[in-house]
Amino acid sequence: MVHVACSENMKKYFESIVDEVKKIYKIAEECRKKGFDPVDEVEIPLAADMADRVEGLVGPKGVAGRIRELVKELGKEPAALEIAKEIVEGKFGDFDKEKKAEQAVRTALAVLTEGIVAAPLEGIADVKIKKNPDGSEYLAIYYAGPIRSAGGTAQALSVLVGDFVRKAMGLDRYKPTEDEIERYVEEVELYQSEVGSFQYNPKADEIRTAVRNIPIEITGEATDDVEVSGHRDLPRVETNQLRGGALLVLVEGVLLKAPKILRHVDKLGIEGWDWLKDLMSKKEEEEEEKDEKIDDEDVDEEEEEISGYWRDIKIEANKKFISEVIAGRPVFAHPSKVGGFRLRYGRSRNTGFATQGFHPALMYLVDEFMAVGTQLKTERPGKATCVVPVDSIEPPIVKLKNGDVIRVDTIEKAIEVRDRVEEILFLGDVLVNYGDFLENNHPLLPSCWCEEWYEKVLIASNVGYDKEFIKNPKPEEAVKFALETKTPLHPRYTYHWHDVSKEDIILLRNWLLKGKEDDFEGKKVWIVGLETEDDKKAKRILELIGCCHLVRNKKVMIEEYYPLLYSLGYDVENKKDLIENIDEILNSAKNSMHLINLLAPFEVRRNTYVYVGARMGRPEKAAPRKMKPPVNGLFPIGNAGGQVRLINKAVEENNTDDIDVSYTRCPKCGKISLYRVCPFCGTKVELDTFGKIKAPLKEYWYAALKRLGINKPGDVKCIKGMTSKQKIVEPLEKAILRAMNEVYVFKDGTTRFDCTDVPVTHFKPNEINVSVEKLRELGYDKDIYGNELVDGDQVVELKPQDVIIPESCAEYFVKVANFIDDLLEKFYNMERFYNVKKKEDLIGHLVIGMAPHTSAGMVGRIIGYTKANVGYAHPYFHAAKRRNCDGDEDSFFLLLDAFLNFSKKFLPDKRGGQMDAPLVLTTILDPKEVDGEVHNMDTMWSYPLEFYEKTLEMPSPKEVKEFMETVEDRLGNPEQYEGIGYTHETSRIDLGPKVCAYKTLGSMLEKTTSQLSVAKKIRATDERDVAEKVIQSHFIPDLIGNLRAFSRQAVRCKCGAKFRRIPLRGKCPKCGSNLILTVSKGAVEKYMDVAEKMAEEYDVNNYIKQRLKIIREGINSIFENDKSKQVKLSDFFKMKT
Amino acid sequence: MEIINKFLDLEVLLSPTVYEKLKNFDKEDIENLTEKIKEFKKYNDAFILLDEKFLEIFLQKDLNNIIKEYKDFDFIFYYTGEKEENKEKIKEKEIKTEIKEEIEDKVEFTKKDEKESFVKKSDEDIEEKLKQLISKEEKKDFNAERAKRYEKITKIRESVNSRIKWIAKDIEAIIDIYDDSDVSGKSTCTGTIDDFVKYFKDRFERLKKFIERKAQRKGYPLKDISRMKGQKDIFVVGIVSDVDTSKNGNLIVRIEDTEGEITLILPKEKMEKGQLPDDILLDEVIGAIGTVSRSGSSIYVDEIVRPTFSPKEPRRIDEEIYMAFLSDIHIGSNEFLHKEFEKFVRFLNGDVDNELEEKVVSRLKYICIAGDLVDGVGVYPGQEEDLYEVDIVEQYKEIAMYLEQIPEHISIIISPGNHDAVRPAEPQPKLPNKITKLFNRDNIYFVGNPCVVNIHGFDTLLYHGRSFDDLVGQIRNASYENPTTIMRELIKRRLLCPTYGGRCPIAPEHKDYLVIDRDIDILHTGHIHINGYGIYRGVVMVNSGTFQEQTDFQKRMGINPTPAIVPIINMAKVGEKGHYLEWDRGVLEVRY
Repeated sequence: MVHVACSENMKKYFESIVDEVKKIYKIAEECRKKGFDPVDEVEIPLAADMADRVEGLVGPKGVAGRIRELVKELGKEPAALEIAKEIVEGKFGDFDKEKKAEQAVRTALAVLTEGIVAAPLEGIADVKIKKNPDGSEYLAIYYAGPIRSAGGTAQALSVLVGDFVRKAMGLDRYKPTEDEIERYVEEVELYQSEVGSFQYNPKADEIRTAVRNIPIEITGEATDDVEVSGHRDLPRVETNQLRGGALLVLVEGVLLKAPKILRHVDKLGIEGWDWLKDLMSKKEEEEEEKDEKIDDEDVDEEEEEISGYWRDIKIEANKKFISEVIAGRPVFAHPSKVGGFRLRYGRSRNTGFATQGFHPALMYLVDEFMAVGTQLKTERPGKATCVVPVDSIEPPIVKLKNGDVIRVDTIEKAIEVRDRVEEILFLGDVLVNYGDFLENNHPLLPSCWCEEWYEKVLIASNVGYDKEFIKNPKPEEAVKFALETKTPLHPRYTYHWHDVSKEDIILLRNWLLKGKEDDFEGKKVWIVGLETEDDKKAKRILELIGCCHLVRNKKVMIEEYYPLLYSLGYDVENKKDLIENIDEILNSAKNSMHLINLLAPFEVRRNTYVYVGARMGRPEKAAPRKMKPPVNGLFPIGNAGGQVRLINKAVEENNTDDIDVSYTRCPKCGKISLYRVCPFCGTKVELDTFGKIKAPLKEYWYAALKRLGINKPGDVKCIKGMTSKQKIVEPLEKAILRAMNEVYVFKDGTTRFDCTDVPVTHFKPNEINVSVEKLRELGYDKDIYGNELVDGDQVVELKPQDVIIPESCAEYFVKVANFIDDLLEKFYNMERFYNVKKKEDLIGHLVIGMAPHTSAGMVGRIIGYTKANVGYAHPYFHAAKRRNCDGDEDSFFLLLDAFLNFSKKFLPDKRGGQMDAPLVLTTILDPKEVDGEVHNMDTMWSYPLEFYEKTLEMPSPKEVKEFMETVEDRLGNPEQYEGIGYTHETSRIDLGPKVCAYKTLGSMLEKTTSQLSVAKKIRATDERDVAEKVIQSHFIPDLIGNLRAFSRQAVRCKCGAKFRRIPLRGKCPKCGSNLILTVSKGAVEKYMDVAEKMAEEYDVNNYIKQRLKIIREGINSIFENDKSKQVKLSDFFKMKT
Repeated sequence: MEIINKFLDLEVLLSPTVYEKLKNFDKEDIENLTEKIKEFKKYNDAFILLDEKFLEIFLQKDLNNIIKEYKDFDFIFYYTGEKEENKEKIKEKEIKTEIKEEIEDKVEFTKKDEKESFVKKSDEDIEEKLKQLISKEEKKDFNAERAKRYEKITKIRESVNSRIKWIAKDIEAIIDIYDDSDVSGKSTCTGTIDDFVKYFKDRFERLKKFIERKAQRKGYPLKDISRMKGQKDIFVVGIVSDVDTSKNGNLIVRIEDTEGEITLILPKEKMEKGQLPDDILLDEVIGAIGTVSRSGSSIYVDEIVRPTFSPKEPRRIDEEIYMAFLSDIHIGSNEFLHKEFEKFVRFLNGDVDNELEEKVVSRLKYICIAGDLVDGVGVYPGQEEDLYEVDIVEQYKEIAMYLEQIPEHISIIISPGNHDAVRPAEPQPKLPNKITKLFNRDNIYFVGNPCVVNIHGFDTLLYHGRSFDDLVGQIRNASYENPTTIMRELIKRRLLCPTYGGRCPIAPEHKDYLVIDRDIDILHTGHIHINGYGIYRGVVMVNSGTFQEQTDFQKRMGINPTPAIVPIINMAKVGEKGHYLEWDRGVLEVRY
C-alpha cells in the first residue's frame, strides 16, 4: 500500500492516514448512496501517486498503470510523450481521431504537471485537425487562459507533445500564412500594451521564426476583450480578440524555455526543432553584446589590489522590487542601502522554501507592519518572501530619543522602547537559506561575519572554545580570546567600520582617547564627554558603526569599550596607545577596513558586505473562504431574498422569483422536485427537465425544516442562481445547517479556510497547543536528539502530512465539524462523526490542503494550532499543493466535508470553473512528485566553512552544491522524510505580532501616515522617495484610471441589470427604477486629497506636483460646473472689495 | 520662515533688514520679486545675498535692464571684496562648504536680532538645504541646456535674411469663432447620472433632426411600433444601443429613442449588395425605413438614413491666401524634431529656395494647430523617461517662443489635444489662462477641442482626433495609414466620437459638442501622426501629421508616422489642380 521509500515508522504513519481516509470515505459513500446529492457516490477519486492523479483528472481509464511503468522505465518527460503516442495508437480505446489527439495532449500535459494543476483540463480548450492551404492536414491546439497554471516549461513541452502526436498520426506540419504570422506579432505587442507583461519580451523576428517553424498551430480562444486592429478576420483564426493562452505558450513557453525544450528534443531524438538552436544562439550573441555594454550587474569587483577580508566588494543594487510602492505598505529598506537587512545564511525550523527569518523584536519596532506571515517584496535573492520570527540572529540596533544606542534583542525590550526610538540604525539580520539562492540561481553574496562562520574558523584552527562564549561573549573576554588565540575578533564586537570613512575613524579614535575608564551603575564603562560639535560628530560615527552606548549628563558611556578601543589600537589593560605614527597609517590604509586592521592588534573581519532591501507586499491572511456575497448553501432563490439573499425573508414575505434549474414533476405526488429524491414523498426521480420555473421556496423551506426538526433557524443566505451546466441544486437542508453553525460554503459545496502558507520542519509541543500524550498517540515519540518525548519544550521533527492550523481556523473548523455531525445525524440519519467541542478535539483529524489554480487536493492531518495567522505545514506539503512559501495563501477543508458535500455538478460552466476544486485527492505524499522547487531546500545542521569562504567570490550557487546537502540528495531514500536539519534555532515559531498593522489601521490616510512615519524612522529608508513612489505608482494611476473610467462608465440598476451606456429614457428599461453610476465621484477623488497632502509635506519632485495639479484640474472640470465656478470667483471678489 | 525658504530655493539669502521689509509685502509682490530674480539667475547664476541695495534694484528696475546691467556682475566680490579668480576652476566642494558656512553665518547672525520663529533652523535643516543645493548643482547642466535652447529659438527670426514682399501683411485677418461650438467656459458637467442622460438625449435630438430632414419625414415613436405590425415603409430614428450578427449573417441592431426601443434587422443579402451599410457603430444615431415584423418587435430594414452632408462644391475665395495646418508638435519629447521645426519657422520667415515657396510664404495668412502642442507630463506611465523637458510650463514656454518667431501678420488658431494641460475628457476646453499668458502675441486664438472657426469664410472644424483609436478597430475600411478613411466616417455620421465607452473619454456635457452641427468646409484633425488629405462631399479633410519622430511605442506597434510634413492649402483654388501643397522636411511641393 505504501509505495514510497521510508522507514518502518514512517510507513506506519502513512498507513494510519490512508486507513483513516478510507474509513471516512466509507461513511461518505454510505451517505451519498441515499441519493440526496447530485451524484450517488463520493466524487473525489483517491490517488496514491501521480499516475492515479492523472487518470483521475483527465483519464483515460486504465492509464495509471502504464504511466507508472513508463515513468519508472524512462523518466517523467519521455513517459509523457510515450503515453501520448500510445493513446494515439489506440491502446486505451479507439475513438475518433481528433478525440484521441485531444486525449493524448491532455494526458501528457497532466503527467508533465504531476496531475495537480488545472492546466490539462482548463488550459486546453480543444485540439483539432485542420487543413493547410495545400490541402494537407495538421494539428492545432487551442489553449485557454488557465494554461498559465502549468508553468512555462510544461507549456513548452505541451507543444512538443503536440508535435509528437502529429507525427504519430501522420499529419503534415502547420503552414502559417504571412497574415497569420503577423497576427502573432501584433497580438504579442497588443497583449503587452493592453493586458499585462510577459516574463520575456520577444522581438518580432523571434516570433516570426517561431511561428514559421513550430510544426503545430498554437491557437486558442479569446481571453481578453481586446481586438486586434490589423490581421483581422483570418479564415483559420476564429477570433479577432487576443488569444491569451496561446500567446503565453508561445512567449513564456516556447521562446522563454527554449533551452529546456532543446534539452528534451536532444534527449528524445525529436526532429524538426533545430531552428530553436539558431534562434537561441542568435539571442545569446545579442545578449553578449548587451552584456558587454551594460555588464556586471551583480558581480563587480573593484580595487583588485586589495585582497583579504577587508576589501570592498561592489554589489550593484537591484531596484526592481521598489519600482512600485503601494500606499500603506511601508518600505523597510531601500535597495542595498546601509542600515538595511544584513544577509545571514542559514535555515531555521520555520524558514526556507522562500520564507525568511527576521528578528521578532524588529517586527514591533516597525510599528507591527511586519507580522508572522506578512509578505515582503525583497531585493534578493528572490522576488518575495514571507516574514517569520527567528530570534537567534542579529537583532536591530536603534538610537533612542535621549541619544542611547541599544541592541534590541528581545521582544520585551522592543515593546518597552518602541515609543522612544528616534532612528533604527540597523534592521538586523535576514536569515536566508542557501536553497533560496539555488532556486533563484542568484549568485551567492558574501556572507556577513557571523557566529556560525566564526565557530567554523575556530574549529578549523583547532582552537578550543566554550559554546556559551560563541553565543554570548563578554567584551573583555572577546578581546582576550582574539589576542591569545590569534583568531579574528568575535562577530558580536566586529563593528560596521566599512560604513564610515577612514577620516571618521580617526575622528572617533581621537575623541574616544579623551575618555576614561570609570564605574557606572556598578559596571565598568568608558566615559567620554559630549560637549562640542566635534564630540557630536564622533558620537554619530559611533552610532553608524553600530556600537552600543548610553548618554547621561552630556557624557557618553560605552560598556563594550574593550573591543572598541582595541580595534582602534588602544591597549586598555595597559592604558597604552599602541599607535605612534597615526598619520602614516592613515595614508597607507586603502580603506576603512584596512585601516582598522592596521590599528587593531588582532584581525577584524568585515561585518557586512551587502545590505538587502525590502518592502511590504501583502498582509498575512487567515479567514474563512466566503463567496461574494457570502452564502450558506447552493440553493437558488433569484432576487426573492433581496440583496443579502435570505431565503427565510423571502418565505416570510411570500416572495418568489424565476430560477433556472434541473427539475422534474414527481410522478407520485405531482410536485416539482429539484432533488433526485422527491422532498415531499421520498420517491426517487430523474431530473429530466431543464428550464425556468417559479422557485417553490415556501414548500421547500418548510419541508426542509420539518425534516431537520427545526423551527427557527435564523437567517439562511442562499444564492441567486446556479452557474453550473445542469444547474442541479444543493439540498436546502445543508444551507440551513450551515447557517445554524455559522459556516459558509464555496462554489463547489465545500467549506474552506484560507491562510498564508508558512513552512515548518520541526516544532515544540508547547508552541502548538498539543499535549505530549496526544502527540505520542499520533506517532511522535522521539525528539530530534532521539530522546523519548516527555516534555513540551523538546524539539520534534514534523511528519510531512501533518499541519498546524491558525487558532481562528481551529475555531471555524469546530463549527464545521458540528455542521457535518448535524448533517450526518439529521439529514443522512447516520451517527455523528467528529463530536468535537473544543479546538483540541480537532487534533488528529484529516483535512485537505489545496491551492487555487490546481485541481488536486492533498490529505493532511491536524496536529495543533497557533495564534499566528498562518497555516504551518511541512515544505513538502506546500510543495505538494504546488505552492512555495513566499506569501501565497491557500485553503484547508475537512476531509469528510469534501467527501460529503463536494460535487462536480456545482462547478461553474465556464473557463476556469474546474480550478480550485478537489477533482482528485492524493493520500500519500511523495517528495519526488511535488513541486521541484522544494528539492532545492537545504537540509544540513550547519553550513561548512568552505561555503562561507566561497561566498566572498560570489559564485553561482551551483558551484558550491557539492558540499551543500539539499532535499534532492535525499529523494528516493528513507531520509527524504526524516532527519532533515536546520542551522538556526528559534525559541517559538509564532513570536512577534500576529496581525500586520496594515490590517488594523483604518483609512488610507492613516495607513500612509504610518507608512511614512516608519520610513522616517528607518535609516535605510528614504521617506521622500517613498512618498514619491506611493504617489506615482499607486495614487496617480488610480486617479487617472478612475477619471478615465468615469468618462466611459456603464450604469447599473439595483435590480441587477447593467448597461454599457445609459438608456435615453434615463430609467431602467427592465424595472423602471432610477439608474446608478458604476463609477462615482467619490471613487474618482478618493486619493486626491491624500496625494496632494503628501506631495506638499514631503516636497516631492516638481514633475509629480505638476501631474497632480493637472489631475486635480481634470477632476474639477468634470465635477464642477463652469458657471458655479464663476459665481464662486465673483463671490471672492465681492468679499475683497 | 516661508519667505526665507522661498528665497533659499532660489539660492538667495536675505539680509535681516530685507527680511523685515519683505514680511510686510503682499504675497503677490513677493511672487513677482522671486520671479524676477529667478529670470535674472538664468543669466547670472551667482549666489546672491539680497541686501537693501539689490532689493531696491529688483523692485524698481525693469528685468531687461537688470539683466543688461548685472549680467556679468561679480556678486562674490561685492560681498567679500575678494575677486573670484575663475569660476569654473573652483572645486565644487569648496563652493558647497562656502555656501554652508554662509548659511550658518546667516543663521547665527539673524539669531541675534530676530524673533524666535526665525531662528528655529536646526543643523538638519541646513543639511537638508545643502542637499538640495547640491542636487541643484547637478541640475545646472540641465538649466544651462535649456537656456541655450531658448536662446537659439529666440534668434530664429534674426537669422533669416529675406527680401520677400509680404502680401499677406496687407490682407486683413477674418476670424470668427462659433461660440456655440466651443465648450470653453461653458462646461455644465458635474458628474451626475443626469448629465449622462442629458448628454445622450442631446446627441439623439440634434442628429434626429438632420436625419428627418434628409428623409423628409418624421420618425415614428418606437414605443408605438407594436401597433404597426406587418406595416411597410415605416421610418424610425434611434440611437444604437447594441449591434450583433445573427447566425445567418443578418445584422441585428438595437436602437432606442427617449421612450422605447426596437430591433432592426439588416438582411445579409442587402448588405452584400451594398444596399445597406454593414458598419453600424454603437451609439451613432441612424434612421431606418422598413417593414415591421408580425410580432411588432422588430423592423426588416430596406434603407438606412444617416445624417451625412449633402454633396457640394468645395468653398473657394477670390483672394489667393494660404492656410497651413499643424498638430502634434510634442515639445518636450525626446523625439521632438527641433531642427525640422526650426526649419519650418525659418520657412515662414521667408527662408525660401524658389519662386513657388516665395509665393506661398508671402501669401500665407493662417495657421491652425489641432492639439498636442507639447508632450505634456504624466500622459502615460513612465513618460518622464521620454522627455527632455519634464516641466510642462517650460514645455509651453518653449512652444510659445517658437510661435513668437512666426511673422506677426500670420494668425494662429490653437485647440488642445490629449497631451495638453486640460482635462482629457472630450470636449476639451481651451488652454487655461496661466498657459495662454505665456504666449506673447496678439493674434493667437485659443479655442476648445472641438471647435468650429470661420477663417476667412471657411468654416473650419478643429478636432484633435482621439476617437480615431476606437474607429480604426470598429470599421473595416478605416486605417491609420490613410487618415481620410477615418475622417470620412465622422462626416457620414456627423459625429466626432460615435462610440461611447472606448478609449476616448467623454465628459457628459448637457450639449454634445461632438455632434457636427454645421455644414463645415474644412475638417482639420491630428492625433495619429500620419498626414492625410482628401475631399469628401465638398469638405476638405486634413490630417496634419506631427513634428515628433517615431517613438519606441509606435515602433513596437508598427505605426509609421510621417513627421515634419505640413499641409498647406490655397484657399482660392480648393478642389482644383495645385490647390494642396506640402512642406516636406524643408521642401515645398504641390501634391494635388
